[in-house]
Amino acid sequence: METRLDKTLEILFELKVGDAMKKDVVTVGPDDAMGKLNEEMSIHRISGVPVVEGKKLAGIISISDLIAWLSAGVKDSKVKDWMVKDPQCLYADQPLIHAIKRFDQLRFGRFPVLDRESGELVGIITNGDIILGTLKKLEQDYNEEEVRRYRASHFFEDINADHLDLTLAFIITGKDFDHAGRASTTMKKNLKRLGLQPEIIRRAAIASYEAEMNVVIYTDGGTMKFTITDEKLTIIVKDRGPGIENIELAMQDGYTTAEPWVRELGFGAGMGLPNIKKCSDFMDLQSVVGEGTTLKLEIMIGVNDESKRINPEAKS
Amino acid sequence: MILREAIELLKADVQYNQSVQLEAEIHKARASDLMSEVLADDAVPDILLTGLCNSHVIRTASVFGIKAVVFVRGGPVDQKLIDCALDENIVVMTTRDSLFTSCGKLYAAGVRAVTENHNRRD
Amino acid sequence: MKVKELIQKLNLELTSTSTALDAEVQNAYASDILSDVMSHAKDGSVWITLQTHRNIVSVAELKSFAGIILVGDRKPDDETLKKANEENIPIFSTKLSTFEIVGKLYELGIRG
Repeated sequence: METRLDKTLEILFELKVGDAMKKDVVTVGPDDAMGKLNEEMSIHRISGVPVVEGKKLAGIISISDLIAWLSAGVKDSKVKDWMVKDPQCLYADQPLIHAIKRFDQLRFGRFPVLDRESGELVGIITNGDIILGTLKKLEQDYNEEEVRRYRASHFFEDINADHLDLTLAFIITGKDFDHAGRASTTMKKNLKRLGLQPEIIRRAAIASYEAEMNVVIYTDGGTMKFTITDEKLTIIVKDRGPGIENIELAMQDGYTTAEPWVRELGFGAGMGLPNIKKCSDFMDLQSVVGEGTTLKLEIMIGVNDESKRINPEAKS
Repeated sequence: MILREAIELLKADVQYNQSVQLEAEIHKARASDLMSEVLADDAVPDILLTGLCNSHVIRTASVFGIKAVVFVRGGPVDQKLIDCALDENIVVMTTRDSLFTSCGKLYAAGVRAVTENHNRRD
Repeated sequence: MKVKELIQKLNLELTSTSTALDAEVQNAYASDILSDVMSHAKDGSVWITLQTHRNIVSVAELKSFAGIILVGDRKPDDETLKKANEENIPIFSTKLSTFEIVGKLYELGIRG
């Protein structure tokens, strides 16, 4: 069984020095004054600086060289008088594991990184950069693996039927602002586990969140039902009233009946329904005053099938 | 700049984060107290600044894909909000600066508004 | 800096008929929450907001604001405009977002 440590080792072989190094390198020239080096080091809070002539590396100078210069008491000194010439370097295409060995052997604080072909300085790398680069890659791999593990395609491929759908339902409590948004954020995680494309998840999450907030703010409560097939995601939001008097007006950008307390909480700007429409491929709003409102949304999830998109305006 | 630098610039107190997130690049920012405005945007900012201080800011950030939120004028953020940030894995920080000052400082440091570069499908 | 200099430097559109454009502005406040503005903005500030309903004029009047800047190309509601004209409060409109107009005001030396 593959352990985490194996995984880390694998990453150290897979990642190159060029992936983990810092690309914005502070450099000095061989003819710069030592005083300037002193300034650069304190401004950028760094302890070692590559010395560059043209684009070629001429040497490296560190805080210990700076201290040697300061204690020697020589004014008007130049960087080239104190730098280490022909320093040990790494190449951007070497695996990180190689860099770790070199740090271990030579106990240096940093290595300049060169491009193998041109021999030019392209970056600098410290032990900290190696750790950070490895952690980032680990996290990224972990996220990808997590998504892979629960792919919707598995669900739809492994189970056989003439028609297959998955329905998840939530109960929304009216005026319960503390828990408002729970259904949408939970659903967002579910869709991620099901392996839907990030852009589809985002649109679905925004549309359902706006719809959920509407139920919480304006109604006595209701339900949200998400139905996923291999072709589309359907969201049906039903509430128990009071209903919308003029749907056409409610759909207008900026039209709102929100009370001041709703606005103070950051909602009720009259953007909800237009935004829901923008995020969905199909939207239908039915309302009976005194009874309630039913909102039906569809978002196409057919993989890479642009032709199925009914609403070309839908944002990505 | 990266998030860690933005935190220093705003002298912000980080309330929730994972250390790797602090290395995230911050190019585009959005300032608003109305979450439905944020949700109606076309492009996603790297950071959201707001004077509104409740869990819905975190939920909005999560739903919209924003990774970090700055609460201005010192918050205050309550435990409910922190729990929500933990659930949604959103970086949360508070600064004593006002919304105006926070935005001004970030702008002066090169961060730009998200609206300058529209990401429309058309 | 005078209000009329801000208009020119930031390309603001004056939507109300106010003539009070010689006021000196040193401070600004950005917020969309009226109660927050009421309790924290300094008197005489310019106020940056996306709210357009008539209550913004009352707040501006109470805090003696030098003007209101509406962001994202928003225009005041009819009632808001009517009230602003009565109270001689300048309401401006900019195409920029809150973040950007604030950044530019900050660059001009206006502080929070």
